[in-house]
Amino acid sequence: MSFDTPVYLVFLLLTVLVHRRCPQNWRWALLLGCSLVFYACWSPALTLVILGVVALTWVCALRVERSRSALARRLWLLAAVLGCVGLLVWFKYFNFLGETFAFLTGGQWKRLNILLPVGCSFYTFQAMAYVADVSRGRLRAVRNPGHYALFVCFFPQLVAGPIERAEDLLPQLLSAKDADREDVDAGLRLLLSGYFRKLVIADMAATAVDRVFALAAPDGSAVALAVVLFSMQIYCDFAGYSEIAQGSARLLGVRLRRNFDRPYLAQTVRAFWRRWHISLSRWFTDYVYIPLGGSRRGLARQLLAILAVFLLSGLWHGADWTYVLWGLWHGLLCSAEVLLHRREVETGGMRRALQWLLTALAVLISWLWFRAESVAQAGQLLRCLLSPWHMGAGWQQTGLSLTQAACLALGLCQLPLLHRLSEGKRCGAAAALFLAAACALGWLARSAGNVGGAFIYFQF
Amino acid sequence: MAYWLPWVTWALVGASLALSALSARRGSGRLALSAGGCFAAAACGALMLDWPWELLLLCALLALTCARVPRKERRSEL
Repeated sequence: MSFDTPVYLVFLLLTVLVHRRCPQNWRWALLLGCSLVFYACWSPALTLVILGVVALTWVCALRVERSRSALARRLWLLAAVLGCVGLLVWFKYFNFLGETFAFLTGGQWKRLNILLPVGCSFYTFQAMAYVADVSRGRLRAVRNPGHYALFVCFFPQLVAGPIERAEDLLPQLLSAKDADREDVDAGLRLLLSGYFRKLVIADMAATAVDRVFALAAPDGSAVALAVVLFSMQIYCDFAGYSEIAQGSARLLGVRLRRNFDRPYLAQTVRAFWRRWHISLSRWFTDYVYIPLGGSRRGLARQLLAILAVFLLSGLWHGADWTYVLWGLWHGLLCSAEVLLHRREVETGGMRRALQWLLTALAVLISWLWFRAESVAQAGQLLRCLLSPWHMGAGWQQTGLSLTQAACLALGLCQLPLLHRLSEGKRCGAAAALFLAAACALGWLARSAGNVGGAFIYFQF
Repeated sequence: MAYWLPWVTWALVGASLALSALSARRGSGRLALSAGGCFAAAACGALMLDWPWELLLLCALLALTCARVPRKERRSEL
């Protein structure tokens, strides 16, 4: 059940209504039941996988807490990490590792047909963080398996995050408070903003991007336009998803963490990562970067930690060399910024503009790797980008009509308004009305043209 | 199809743009509802004329642009 289908809206409405009527003691059970139904709509069989992760990490966390020796604690933590990582390796990386091995040894690899469980990368990371927090003594292990299952399976953030911490989410889920008027208002605002990002901007941009990336040798201007549009598509797609998740949870009285903070305004690549997919960046900082030494064990160790984090982040996004190169590119840029002591500046208009431009270009180039189907295609598109441009031909290759281009441009002009809306500031009744109308029309245009599709981050 | 229908539909679109701008300027909910009503009527006309959804979406986005942050609010924030 995807967020961008009418069935989800009906499901959410029913859940909210029943949640309000349900006795407080049983609200966690209701939410757990709804979450399992939500997940089973994707694939009933793969629900067993998530329940397996829940069982494994619940037992390991209890054992970690009860262990008296440090060695036993570490062994139980290791068991949880190996279980979760092993699951990811099997479902997500098995074919990738086999193909790489076959390539290196000159052999052949017959791809296995393994279906990746939806949201696998997200819920395994959330579960691992929980066991790590218990092992560090930051958190007491949850005794009730149902309460813990709800923390991992809570449906608004189950499929693509935000990756929540138990110390933030569990108390909210268990307090089972009623959503007050402020919650409902904030939830509806977030839903409106999220749907607008997805249905009007991301899906409209996707049509042009898909067309250009499907061409064998597009014009350089078409590639440039497609990369810029993809940067907007992926931002609006994922930020839109995150806002729908936040809004859905808020209608149930639960506050999820913010996942995006206007990332394209960042002046450095490090600042970009503090604003983009914030929950994943914080996860890697807390559970990989800091344990590897962070910035406290000398420059060489810090650079190594940065590279490790970004390589892992690239691999987390997908089992392909394009993602590894994407992660490596960001790792190298962040390392260079550390070496050059490059920071965001508050003053000096020209300097700020230049810093922003350099960062935007670096991030834009990286999206080409991210979107390409293979390393060979990324190389081919880079060659096209660097060859002479023919603007007219490039525009035609995107396949955008004037109406669609105008819609896209006007949709992008609304980003400041969407930011105000999700921040809870006033935006006016007419604006809210026409935002809702635009969402409905965007959905109809998408259905009529058979364009757009699932959220990009669902595949991770 | 009646020859006047496209003209009336465009007039309704124009009226919804004007009303949404006015609603934002005055911070009036009633004017916003009137703008929405005009737009809904225009959408019915567009459906009868078999206009593409993108065109109607463009009109909604134009109305939205007219209905951006109310001016009174912007002044008070400054």
